[in-house]
Amino acid sequence: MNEKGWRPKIVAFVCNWCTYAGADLAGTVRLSYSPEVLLIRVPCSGRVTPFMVLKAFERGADAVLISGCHPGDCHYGSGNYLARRRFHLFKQLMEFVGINPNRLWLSWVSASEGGKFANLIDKMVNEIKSLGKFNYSMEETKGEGTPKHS
Amino acid sequence: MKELQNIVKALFKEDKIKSVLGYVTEDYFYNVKPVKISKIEDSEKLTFNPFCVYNLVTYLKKEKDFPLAILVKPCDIRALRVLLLENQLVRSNLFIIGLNCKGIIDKRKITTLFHLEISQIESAEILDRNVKFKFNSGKEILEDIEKCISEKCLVCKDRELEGDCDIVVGEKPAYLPSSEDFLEVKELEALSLEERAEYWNKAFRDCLRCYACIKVCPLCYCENCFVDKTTPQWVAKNYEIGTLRDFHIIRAFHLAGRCIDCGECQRVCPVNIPLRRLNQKLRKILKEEYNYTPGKENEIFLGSFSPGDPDRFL
Repeated sequence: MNEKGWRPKIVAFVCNWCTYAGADLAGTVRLSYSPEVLLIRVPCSGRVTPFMVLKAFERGADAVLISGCHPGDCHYGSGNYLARRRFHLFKQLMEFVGINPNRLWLSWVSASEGGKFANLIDKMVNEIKSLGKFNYSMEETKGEGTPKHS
Repeated sequence: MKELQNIVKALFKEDKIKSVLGYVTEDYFYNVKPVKISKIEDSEKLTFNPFCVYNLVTYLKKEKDFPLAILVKPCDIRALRVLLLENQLVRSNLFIIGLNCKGIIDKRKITTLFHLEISQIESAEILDRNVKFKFNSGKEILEDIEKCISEKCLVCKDRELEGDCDIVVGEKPAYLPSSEDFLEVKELEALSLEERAEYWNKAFRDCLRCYACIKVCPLCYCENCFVDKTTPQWVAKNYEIGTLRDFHIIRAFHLAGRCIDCGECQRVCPVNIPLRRLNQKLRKILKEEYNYTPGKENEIFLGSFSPGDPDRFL
């Protein structure tokens, strides 16, 4: 499936208070990390909905990262706890309908963890490279006629 | 039935309700219709039999004519509890009449059993492990319960009505089916990722996007559904497999922690997409990892948290 010269496209929803600042720090201390990631700043990881994740996939993302403050550190108190419940369910639902769950990542990166952020992105890019391009529209299956479901 | 009709008549007489949501049969015994009755003399027609599959709570979504009485089966009361928990209804506006239920007959199943003879069924009664059908001709047939009642009823173990109903009608079922829950989900989980993708793509590809599953769901009450939104447009207006898959993922996910397994979405689907399995998968995760049963708790699942929630995805 991999075309020559293909590079993964990763969309990262990062929380304004922790991970975005962490990514900023990674830049300030001149750490280099893979440029395949596109950061989208959101007020809180609890703001991210499954809609956004699916929309990113629809528009050609190969993987999505949601990153926020560590549990207990949320600027708004409980946003990251809610995100954790939501995406714990959602990831399993994705897997259930046949989407590789490794295409959705969640992590906690605080404002002081620039190094952790850079490592995370590198690790993610490597893994997605081995997974290959995300085939959103899934090749048609071979079955013909009206399928019967019991 | 007399008991039920008398209760409703008394309510009308005492002016406690303006109308009642219930079931009537007209032409054929198996042909039950949901109705809203506003006249005392019409309450004679109210009935309850094992063909009353409809979840009447669905009709409360757009109801403005309160106070009203509603007939609920044990699965319907769970939907009602979720709506009350989410502040969609005011409890004092409702008079809840609970109906003890021994299971609901699946019309598709018995059509394959009796074919055209189904129109001659005069009565059907569920007796412990069998269903007794009486026909016009005087013939009586006993059938195994598993061959007749809906899948959802085969795993329904929680049939408690007390506590939430104003009044309960009928006798409690003596025998509860013992089928294991989530069997279909486990079957799918055992497949590989590619096999599952193929299974679901095959099912989703048939989707007509008629949205019957949304319309019939008692818990889908958003005034502006995500499928109709255009700014931003979350789900594109086409029939690509990716779009259809997204639609079904989101539809199921909007019921995460809320779906009470009334099975109506799957029943109304004109192309037989096994929608209940998606909801069952979410119910299974909830039960196994959070010990949460929708319709029984006092907290909204996705609106609450515990610091010890599972986090093995990190």
